[in-house]
Amino acid sequence: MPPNADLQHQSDAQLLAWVAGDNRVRARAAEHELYQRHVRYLYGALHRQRDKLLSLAGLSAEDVVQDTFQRAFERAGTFREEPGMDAERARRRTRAWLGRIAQNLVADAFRRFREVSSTPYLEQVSVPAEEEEPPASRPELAPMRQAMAQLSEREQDILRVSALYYKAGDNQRLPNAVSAELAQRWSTSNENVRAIRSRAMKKLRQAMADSVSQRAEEQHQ
Amino acid sequence: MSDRDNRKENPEPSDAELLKLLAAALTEDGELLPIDEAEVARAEAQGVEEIELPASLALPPRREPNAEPEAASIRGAEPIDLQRYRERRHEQPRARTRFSLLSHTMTAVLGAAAAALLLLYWGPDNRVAQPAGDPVTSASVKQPELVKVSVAPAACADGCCAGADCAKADAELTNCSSGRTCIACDLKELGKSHYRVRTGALFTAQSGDEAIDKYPQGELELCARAGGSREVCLPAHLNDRKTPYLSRLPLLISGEDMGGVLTMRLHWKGVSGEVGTPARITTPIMITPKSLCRGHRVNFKTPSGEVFGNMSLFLDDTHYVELRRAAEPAPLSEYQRSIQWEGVDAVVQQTRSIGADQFVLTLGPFDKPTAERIRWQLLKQNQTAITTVGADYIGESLTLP
Repeated sequence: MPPNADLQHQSDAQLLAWVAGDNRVRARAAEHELYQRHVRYLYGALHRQRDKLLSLAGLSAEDVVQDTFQRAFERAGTFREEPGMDAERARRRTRAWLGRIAQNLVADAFRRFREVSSTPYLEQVSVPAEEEEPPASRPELAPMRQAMAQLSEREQDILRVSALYYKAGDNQRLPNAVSAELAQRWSTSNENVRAIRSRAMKKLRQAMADSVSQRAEEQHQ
Repeated sequence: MSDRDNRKENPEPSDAELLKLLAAALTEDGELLPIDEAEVARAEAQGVEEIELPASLALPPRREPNAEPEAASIRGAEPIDLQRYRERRHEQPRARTRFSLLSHTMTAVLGAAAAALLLLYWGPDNRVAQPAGDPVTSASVKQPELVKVSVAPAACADGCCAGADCAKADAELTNCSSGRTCIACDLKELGKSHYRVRTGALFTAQSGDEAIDKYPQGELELCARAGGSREVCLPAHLNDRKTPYLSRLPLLISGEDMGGVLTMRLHWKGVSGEVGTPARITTPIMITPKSLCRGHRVNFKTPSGEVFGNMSLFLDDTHYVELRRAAEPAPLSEYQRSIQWEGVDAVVQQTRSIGADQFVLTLGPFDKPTAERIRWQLLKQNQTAITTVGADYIGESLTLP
């Protein structure tokens, strides 16, 4: 096992390979090094959600961080790094992988009748490679933000959860177990939750359509 | 161009397109997690890492197979047999007023005593883990030295409103049924801490008794949720007037959460729908010196508004100062004996971790300001210490001899 100083020079992929290996002492040291590299990033990313999605899910950023690393260590053998990747991209790739695991854990919090271990989402942790540089903020998102700001708090919450599930598994529909859980938390009916979602989506659609029309008119003039 | 023409040229976005845009906007704004390299790059550029890491994240988790051992251990607690309860109730006429100050106080006092467990046997082990997680041998443990720790809550020096150690406490708040001895006045300070909910046995009213009698095979659960947290359930314990009972719910909640709403319900295990929940209560739980001192009385009501029963509820401190971790309690005991502690007793807690971090030597639990103050006292005396809310602690603590 290399001393700790040497661990600092190892790639994330190598460390994860050691985590997945049979040498428990080396695996533990590798876990420590990986944790130190990425824990602040992951906590920071989750901390930004604390008043919204995490609060709605009844989770703390600290718990999700711990659970994410635990699951990442358990599934270290599934991590794949593309050969020849520079250090910066490799770091982002690891963080994207961790982000996907954390996102799936948050999504699972809304499905309380399922055990985390049986979720389909945890298996979807492969991270597609990105070739381009990080894009600037997309202008077409501005009307989306404006439309969201016009919605009620509950409508915003339900759309956040919908977006979470869409991102986690391309689900256009909110799973029934999730809407049932939200209904229970809000002391309302499942049908009402779906009605709120439908209404919110309609408002978003209208806002986006208005935005497109407005742009078209501006171009026409 | 008319609206109709616009719509023809720009058809309305589909649900998938809308959700894709929405997810992108929320991710850019930090409301969803970055899950590809471009999103990570953007988050890094936004300075997401420029944040102070809480002490509870100082150590990485350990891999272990059990999902929720704490919940499991509490679920494993033996509830009173309902049939025996029903029989005994019919044998002994009972008073209608089932909730008394006496039972409330008895519940609290016995709960405090229940925290102490006997040490039966510890196997030998020569490894001791520092809070940082690096194992060292017991040979490297320091020689006996005196470590002085003042655990008197800061509130008693700076201003207090309740508890036996608080000179300024009103007479009615001097003896706290919660077992607390000093409670701060500052509501903001109280709100900064985390708490665990501790409940007593359920004292049933007539409608509760009737409901229990109607469902002789039923297993009653107590389920609770604070704010938007996940609901946790454990077997409901009915008061049998013989066995004192207290249970900590596996809910770790912040003072801010508790400013919201606590929802508790009684639930027939395995029965869904309204019929499965014979009684519930939704109530704001305010954190005040009085409520921390005297606890709360929780009244469960049936859907028709009748009182089903009630129970006492206390909010316990849950901030610990962690000293060492080890694979077994023995090296922690050895370490503890190597130091002359003054003003504090260390206890051992089991954690969810396995291997070298499974057991931990801790001080506490305290309120947050006290835990932080003790940590700094230890650090200044060259002792290693971190504060934690004990999120991975399992079961009751073990008091060292």
